[in-house]
Amino acid sequence: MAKYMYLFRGGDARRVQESPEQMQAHMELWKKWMGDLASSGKLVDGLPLGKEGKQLKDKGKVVHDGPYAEGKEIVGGYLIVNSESLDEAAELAKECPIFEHDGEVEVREILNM
Amino acid sequence: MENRIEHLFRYEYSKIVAALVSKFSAALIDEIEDSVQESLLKGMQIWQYKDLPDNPSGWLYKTSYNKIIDTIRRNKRSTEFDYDIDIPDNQVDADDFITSGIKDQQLKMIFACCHPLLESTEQIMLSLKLLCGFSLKEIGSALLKNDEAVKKAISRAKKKFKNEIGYPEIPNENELNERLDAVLTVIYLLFNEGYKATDGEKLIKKDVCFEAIRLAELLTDHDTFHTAELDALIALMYYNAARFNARIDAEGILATLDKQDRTKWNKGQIELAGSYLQRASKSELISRYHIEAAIASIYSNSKYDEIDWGLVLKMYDLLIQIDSSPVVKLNRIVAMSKVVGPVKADHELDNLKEESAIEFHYLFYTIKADLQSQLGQISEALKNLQKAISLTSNKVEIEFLKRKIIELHSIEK
Repeated sequence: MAKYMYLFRGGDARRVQESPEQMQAHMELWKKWMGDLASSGKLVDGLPLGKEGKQLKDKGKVVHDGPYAEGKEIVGGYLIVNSESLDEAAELAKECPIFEHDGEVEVREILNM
Repeated sequence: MENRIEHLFRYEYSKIVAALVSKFSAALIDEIEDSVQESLLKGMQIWQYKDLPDNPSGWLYKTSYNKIIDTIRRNKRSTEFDYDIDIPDNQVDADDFITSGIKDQQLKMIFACCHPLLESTEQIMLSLKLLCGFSLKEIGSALLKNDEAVKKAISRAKKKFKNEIGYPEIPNENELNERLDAVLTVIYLLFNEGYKATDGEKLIKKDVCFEAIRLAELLTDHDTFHTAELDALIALMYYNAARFNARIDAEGILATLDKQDRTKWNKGQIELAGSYLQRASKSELISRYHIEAAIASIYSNSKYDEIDWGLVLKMYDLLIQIDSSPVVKLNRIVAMSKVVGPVKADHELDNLKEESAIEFHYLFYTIKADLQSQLGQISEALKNLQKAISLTSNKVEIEFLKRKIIELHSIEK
């Protein structure tokens, strides 16, 4: 069993237009999806990332505010899951509610020594 | 998800907007709405991953409060920002929200959104936006208006709101009755908007109805506003809401009272309506809500073929003295036809046509056709049903009329 990381990108543009009721409905979809992952023993960990950040370059001499990528490229959160294979991990990610908001999921294996 | 947080975001939105408007003035409504929207967004993002905190309302309030303070601070440096607003030094705590008089703030907000300076449609839209937390898109589908029209109307209404309201207040004694009347009218219209049968977006329409009831029930918490009229209005709304699921049949077509599946009526809501009506009846005063609720209660509490139409007609005779609009008159004629028969009712309908522009209303031709079919004048009835179809764009109504045409054709053969 290996661990895989989901990186979530985008979805913000759609989210800001949502009404409170729709936001809550969307949140409940996530809770259900993650709850299912947890109850099948797949879920390891996950958290959202704040919008603001710093980017350090040139041995730390250059410090920029924020991820400068476009909204749809910014990583908004991550999740770590247990899975037999990359294919299975990708299959699990297909149910992710982020697609309702036109966001994307990147699936990567976490390498273990 | 647990029940206690059903509609949490929607309700918190309106509560926090009301609290912040009380604190920082209606002039900042746009900034306040943005702050609350942002904190809900943040809450949503965190709570996707983590369980809700013990006091999510407090967390949202604190986050919105801090955001609005940030905005004010930032805008104070700009010359365009000419509001004289002091920035409080102290940070708020999540627990502050519970103790900060939310109910009063919400009531004040209700009066502000139903302010007489606003036109009726503006009152309705602002109520949906600020008291019910609907998005522009949701308001559009609830009121069957396009997004552009909603946007314009809201921004016009908000302009007045910003300039005139200042700090929302409970109206003083001199104007209280009048202002309360206006609030009840808005709630009544809101409910009716939600109750109109339309295709698609049924959920949002149902939500509008239950929001109208929720706002009305908020008013009952305050003795000054808990009038007999309010009780009667709530009774009326519950009676109608109870029949919500039976109004459209299995094939998606409008079902009139005689054809509704009564097992789909919500008994609990009918009982609730009954207790509100009972309380409303203790007063000497009789409002239009009393009469309409009484009619609804007759419909709800007797089998269709046992309805006391004489009593219904009496109620309509009373209602007409308060509201002599064509729709009320048309509905009265329907009751009348059950009591005195189709010939006299048809005669009355023709009189009504003489005296008002009612013939442009699709309901007129629907009733006319109904009376004619009772009198065996099938081909005339069919013509009038066609005319009724040409006068409505509501798909549910059109389907309903089409089905009547099919039924009549089968009688004709």
